[in-house]
Amino acid sequence: MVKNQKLIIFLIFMITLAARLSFTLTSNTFDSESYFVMRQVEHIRATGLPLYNDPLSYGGREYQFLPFFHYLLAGISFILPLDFVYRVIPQLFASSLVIFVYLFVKEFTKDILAALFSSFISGFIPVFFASTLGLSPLSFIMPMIVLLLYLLLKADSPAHTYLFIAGSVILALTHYYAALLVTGFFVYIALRKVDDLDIKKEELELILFSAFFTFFVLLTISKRAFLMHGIAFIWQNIPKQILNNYFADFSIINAVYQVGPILFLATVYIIYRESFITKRKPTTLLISFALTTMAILYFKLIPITVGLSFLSVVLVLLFGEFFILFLEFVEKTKVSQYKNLLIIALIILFIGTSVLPSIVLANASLEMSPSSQFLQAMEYLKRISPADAVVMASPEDGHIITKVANRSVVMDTNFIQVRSIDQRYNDIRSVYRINSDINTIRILQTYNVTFLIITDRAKEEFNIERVPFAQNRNCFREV
Amino acid sequence: MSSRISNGAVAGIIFLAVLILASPFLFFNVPFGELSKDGQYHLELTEQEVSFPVMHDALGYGGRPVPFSLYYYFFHQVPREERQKAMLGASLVSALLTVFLLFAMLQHHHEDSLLNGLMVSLYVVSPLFLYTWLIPSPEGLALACSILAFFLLERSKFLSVPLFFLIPFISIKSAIACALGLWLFYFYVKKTTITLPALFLGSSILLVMIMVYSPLGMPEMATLSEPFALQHLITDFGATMGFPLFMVLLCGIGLFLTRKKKYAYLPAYMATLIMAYLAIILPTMRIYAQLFVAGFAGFAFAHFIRRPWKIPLVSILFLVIISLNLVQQAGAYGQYFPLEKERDAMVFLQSLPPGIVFSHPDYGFLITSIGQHEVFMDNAPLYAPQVQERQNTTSFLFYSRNLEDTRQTLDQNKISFIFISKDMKEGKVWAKPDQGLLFLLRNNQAFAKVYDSNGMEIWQVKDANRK
Repeated sequence: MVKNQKLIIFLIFMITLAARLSFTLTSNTFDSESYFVMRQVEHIRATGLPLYNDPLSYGGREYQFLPFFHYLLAGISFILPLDFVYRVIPQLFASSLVIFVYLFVKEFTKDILAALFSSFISGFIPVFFASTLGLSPLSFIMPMIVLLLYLLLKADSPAHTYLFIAGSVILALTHYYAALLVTGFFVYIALRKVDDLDIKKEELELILFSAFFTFFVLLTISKRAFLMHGIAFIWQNIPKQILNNYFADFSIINAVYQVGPILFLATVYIIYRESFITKRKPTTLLISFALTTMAILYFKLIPITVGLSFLSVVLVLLFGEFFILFLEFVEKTKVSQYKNLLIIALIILFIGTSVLPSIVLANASLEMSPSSQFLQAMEYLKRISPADAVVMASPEDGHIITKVANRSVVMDTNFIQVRSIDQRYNDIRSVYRINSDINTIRILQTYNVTFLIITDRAKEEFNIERVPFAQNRNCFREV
Repeated sequence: MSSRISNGAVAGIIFLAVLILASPFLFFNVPFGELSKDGQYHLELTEQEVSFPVMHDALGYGGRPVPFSLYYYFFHQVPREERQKAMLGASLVSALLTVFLLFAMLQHHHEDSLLNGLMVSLYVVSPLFLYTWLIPSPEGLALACSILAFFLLERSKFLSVPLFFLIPFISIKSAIACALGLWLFYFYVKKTTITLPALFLGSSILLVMIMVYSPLGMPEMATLSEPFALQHLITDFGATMGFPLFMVLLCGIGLFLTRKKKYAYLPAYMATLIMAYLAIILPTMRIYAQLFVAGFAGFAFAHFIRRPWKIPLVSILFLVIISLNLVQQAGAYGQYFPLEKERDAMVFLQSLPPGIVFSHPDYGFLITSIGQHEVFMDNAPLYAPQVQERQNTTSFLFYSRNLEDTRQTLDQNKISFIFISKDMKEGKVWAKPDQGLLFLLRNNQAFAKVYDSNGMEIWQVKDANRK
């Protein structure tokens, strides 16, 4: 029996938090999406409402999204300084994953050591670690999903059922990723039915509630998007070119690296064992969730980093079982006397395959963030440009321009509810890639563009060394 | 009337129906008594000469034959100034009668006020209920007659027979739905009662086919693009004559829940399958399909209410969510009526000299009824001349940037005006501001803008350049 479990879990939490803060507190900037969250938080602070009618995005557009995460940050910002909220609070959320993983695995395996070990791994899942260093709703959603999975296992107790109800309401109001969990629940029901295994009434009721509430929220908040895009709404109106790019670099090897190779191999074995031999309820639940995530990734419905993050967390939860099997196996061998040494070796192995990749990916992620020079340039743009100026840049830079320069952009990365998105993206692409002044001027006039921004990100996105229009000094002037 | 019918339930359902029928006028700023877009078309048909077996629509597609319907004959007899009110009034009365009879029939067979009340209520809150009854049309009257005929069938077979005989003369599609209803009746009610009505209905269908449809021949149908596309079937995705997504979900659950008595429900499953197929290929049939959808959805809803819930809070929240989802679909109620800015443009169109107007087919009925002009295409392609060719021409005119070819096509089809709405410019037709025809309209030697207000534009094709 492991003593001082609470202290150990607190230490794991603090180590994870410290590792995360070491990146966020030392960086001057955030990733692009964070700037969108910042604008929303600041608008909620000022008006009490999210910025659904954004005059700067796409030259003015309407955009509905689920605002719970933004409200939560705005609410906390009334107590704590805004910069602290931006840099620390999301990391607190993300780090809380270790606690919920601990609770789930403990409930699932009844083994504290396995639970602590899984908890430690969950703090350093490379893809999740790197993708939640900014103000990402994912940092809140992921722990919430694990918490809900845990609460569903404990559906017998009234306190847990009420917490589940509250949690599923919060999750449904936070992001449409809640639909992923609900779909996973239905796959779980189907798998249990296929195996002719029972589902507790309480579980079924909670799942039904969660499904209907999520469905209601999605239908309400996305009504206009549904009407505009029809069924294509589920692809979020992402331009085809970008959608292909999202998945262009995807390979199994790369995915395994981002998830953690040891974790991946260990859980593949567990999935095999649990699917065909033991068929226990918690594993069926996790396998259902994993299958759903894989299917959704296959149909390109979520970005790869998000999909892999979900998948990784499920694998971590399953890993607890592998850990027990591993120790049982060791007990039966002649090296059982070195059990503790083997555990330490396993920890070192994980540091090599999960913690280090986490740090490498986090560094890479920070390098992708806008530089301080870019932010200074945006401040400068704000000073020299008229308030109604329209800026063309890489969509990835869109949120930064609207937040820092406070100027309208032709495109950013919130594609939903924008008509002719492919045309718009291709127009921007052709301005950056095609050496035709007539074509460039025509497009710039179409969107009333007054400023063009060239960044390394734009060069990378459009796969160019030099920007053709920058050579034309008659039409364009460097400011 | 059966005394077993709960007075409270009837009053509640009738009140709900009145509220739903009044909702466009109460909540969507629609002037009271206004006819919907499609209703304008049927009004216009009653204003033209009603002849048997084929009528003539002078404005749609530059003139086309329309199969005779008793509906047009009846309302043609009503004085012109009273006609619109009479059509709308008859439609509203039919709606309330249908709702009442539906509930009474269900109660007669299975005294379960909750289940029956839910089935009828779900039908009433569906957008298709509003579509059926706020758009005065032969289909609505035929549906009311069908329900009345089935109601009478159990009480006085001989009284129902004339109704079954008349239904095909009002709407042949309703007659097909009626035949399906008789088939279900055979399985679920009394096996001997349907022989005579079926005989009359069948012979009437045959008669109508021979007398009305045979002279017209097989209609040239426009290619139905993507009939399974959800945009055409689900109101939440923008379908005008569609089913709410949530109702479909509840219907699916209802079907799933009945699986344990699969043999008892087999005829209903088969009828649902046939109706689902008909609803996909023939939009009008969705009016009848909605009865099936609401039936199974009501079954699911009743199941959830009666289920012995382990967690009481979940049961309450769950039912609240279902109710909120159903209320939410009311958002689709306003879409059937012309917007004020569309009406203004059409009133202006009245003042222009006669000529064929080219626009998106969705505006066809508005152009003919309120604008009082011939239209190149509308949404009633049955028996219209050269439908496929016109559809191709429409696509060509929308997207071609060749001025000479476009002018030639406009001249060949004698098109004098072009109506463009804001929606058309914002994705309904064009995605870019200078795409296709929008680019050509810049040529002021070929086109002149004669109306531009609130995003609605009317362009005149200049005669000077015509060959």
